[in-house]
Amino acid sequence: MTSSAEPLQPGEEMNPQESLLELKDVKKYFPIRSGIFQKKIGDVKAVDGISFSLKRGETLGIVGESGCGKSTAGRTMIRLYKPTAGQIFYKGRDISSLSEEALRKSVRKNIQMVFQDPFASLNPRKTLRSIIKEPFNTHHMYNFKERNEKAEEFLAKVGLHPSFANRYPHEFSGGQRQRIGIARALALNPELIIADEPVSALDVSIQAQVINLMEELQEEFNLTYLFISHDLSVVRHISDRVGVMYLGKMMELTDKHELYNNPLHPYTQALMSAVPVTRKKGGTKRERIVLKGELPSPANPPKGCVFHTRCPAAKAICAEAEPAFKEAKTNHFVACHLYE
Amino acid sequence: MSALLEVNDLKTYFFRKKQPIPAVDGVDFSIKKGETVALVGESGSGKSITSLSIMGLVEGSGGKIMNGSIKLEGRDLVTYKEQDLCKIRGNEISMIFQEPMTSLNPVLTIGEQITEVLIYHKKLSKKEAAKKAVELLKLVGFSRAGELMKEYPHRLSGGMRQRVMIAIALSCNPKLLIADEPTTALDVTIQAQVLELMKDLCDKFDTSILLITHDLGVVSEIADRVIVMYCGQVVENATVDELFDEPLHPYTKGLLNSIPVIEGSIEKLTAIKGNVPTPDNLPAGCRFAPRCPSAGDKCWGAQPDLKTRPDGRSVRCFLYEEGE
Repeated sequence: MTSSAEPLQPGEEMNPQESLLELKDVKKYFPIRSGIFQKKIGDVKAVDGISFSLKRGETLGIVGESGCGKSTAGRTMIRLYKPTAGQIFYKGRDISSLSEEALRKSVRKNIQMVFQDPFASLNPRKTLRSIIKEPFNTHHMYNFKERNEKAEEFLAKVGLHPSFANRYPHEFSGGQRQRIGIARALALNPELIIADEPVSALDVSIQAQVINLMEELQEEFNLTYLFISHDLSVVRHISDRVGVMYLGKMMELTDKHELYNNPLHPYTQALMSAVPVTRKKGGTKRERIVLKGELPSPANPPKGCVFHTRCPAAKAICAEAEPAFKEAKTNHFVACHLYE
Repeated sequence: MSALLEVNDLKTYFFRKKQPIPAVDGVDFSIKKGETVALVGESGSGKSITSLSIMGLVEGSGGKIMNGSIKLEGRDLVTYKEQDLCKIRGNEISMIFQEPMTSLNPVLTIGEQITEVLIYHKKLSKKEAAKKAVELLKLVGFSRAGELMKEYPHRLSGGMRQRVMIAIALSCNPKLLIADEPTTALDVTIQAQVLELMKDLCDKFDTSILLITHDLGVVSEIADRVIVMYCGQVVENATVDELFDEPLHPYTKGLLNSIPVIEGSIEKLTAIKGNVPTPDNLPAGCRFAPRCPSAGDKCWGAQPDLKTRPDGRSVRCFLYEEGE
């Protein structure tokens, strides 16, 4: 994979040829309305200015707690949501304000999504064949016979027997359904797959099967993944680079080995230490940083650094000024006053 | 130390069209006083039904305890009538459920829900119960406990609700706390808070915990002993150190190998092939045989027994029976 070789520049210097998808200061606010005229009284700042780029063939993991905006970020990237501000470049072309029709013609085919809940993301009244065939109908690809053949081919690709094509989703277990979801995403031969917590609803032994499958498919089809998860161990396993989000902002972004061995941001450090680890032979227990309090509301985020209310290393400046997302070391971006 | 809870040959069946479906099929284990025992297994392995059987709550959901005994300090709970069980539930054994979002009553205040238990079991007056409830909320780490008494559950986040649940569960100083996936719905940082809290409180009150989980990381953080379940049966019973250092049963090995680790890295995860069989369609021989990498001819024909080895560990597998 080509990711870790050249330095990443979040911002203007990026050569559009290099990155598949690039976000520039993207914001997504959801209005809070109240009263009889549904007057807008505020915004939930779900994603509040994130910038990064995604290179062809790499896997970028995004981690964070629930409510940090990681799913909204994923959905905004694929334009399921229209961003409130900022630009999204897909192969150098700004797609942040394209019309639905233009999106369907040029973008949607190449960016597909795998959803979290395998029980809710498949239509219970359709057979697997028509579920996987549906994208072909939408994009007017292949004739009738070819569509059926393709559907069976993709079932086989994800490790399900082609004869299952006539069955309905309720006949399958969670792991199998997630495979069906992956087959549907693969059907259009996309370049980028956005996987929003694809293994969170699965048991560990099944989780491993699905992760292995995703890795095999990545190699076979030269896919680029954006892998959204709250599970730091899973993200570490599958990703090349990892971004940590907190309250709508990117806190840290770097190569996975660098992030897990040398986390700079106090939030990343706390997050890492909170993960329970299975004991190893002769291993010592790690020091655990238990964060005080709860995630503040994204409708009313703290002033200054959004993390300062829970940060064990907060200084006076943290409550006043927002830290910039800067390169602290080569390829290691962090938004924290400690490193300025 | 004597055993606080002893479960012997417990069988809990459900019925579909008069056909018995063995959800729990002959489970034996015991919990000592002050011990934390983890019950581990994938969905459908019968771990939650085991805990509901101990609480006497399966009848309501259509199940029936067919066989076996559940002894709490020598008293067999299986023979107890509903009104006697009511005196034990919430008092001597209490339970924390998985979903903090749905296990509190949305139309009662936090205060009402905590004092309810105290008034029923401890026969406290409303005033005394309220005082005790504030103490409990402080114990589980709420600084503004007084105000919280008047709040409704929807005002609290998942982690806060789970701490309220813990406060309710601990209100009568139970001898045994059953925690069914207490942290599964929570974020890691909140999970760390809740686990620390459970550890502290159990040291303080010498409570035994039966922790039901599928997260082996959580197990290694707080459990003393681990019971691994598969398809309604115990397949391995060992202390935490033994289990993580040297897992015996192929299923336990598979489970340990299939989790990605946060420290160090592995190239490829070793997945257990196939799926957990449903309880109405179990294989004839060893229940793990169709997914087992080391299954031999014997495994397909006969079921192995849970045998205790000389070193005190027990495992249900033919691989460890040859020496006898």
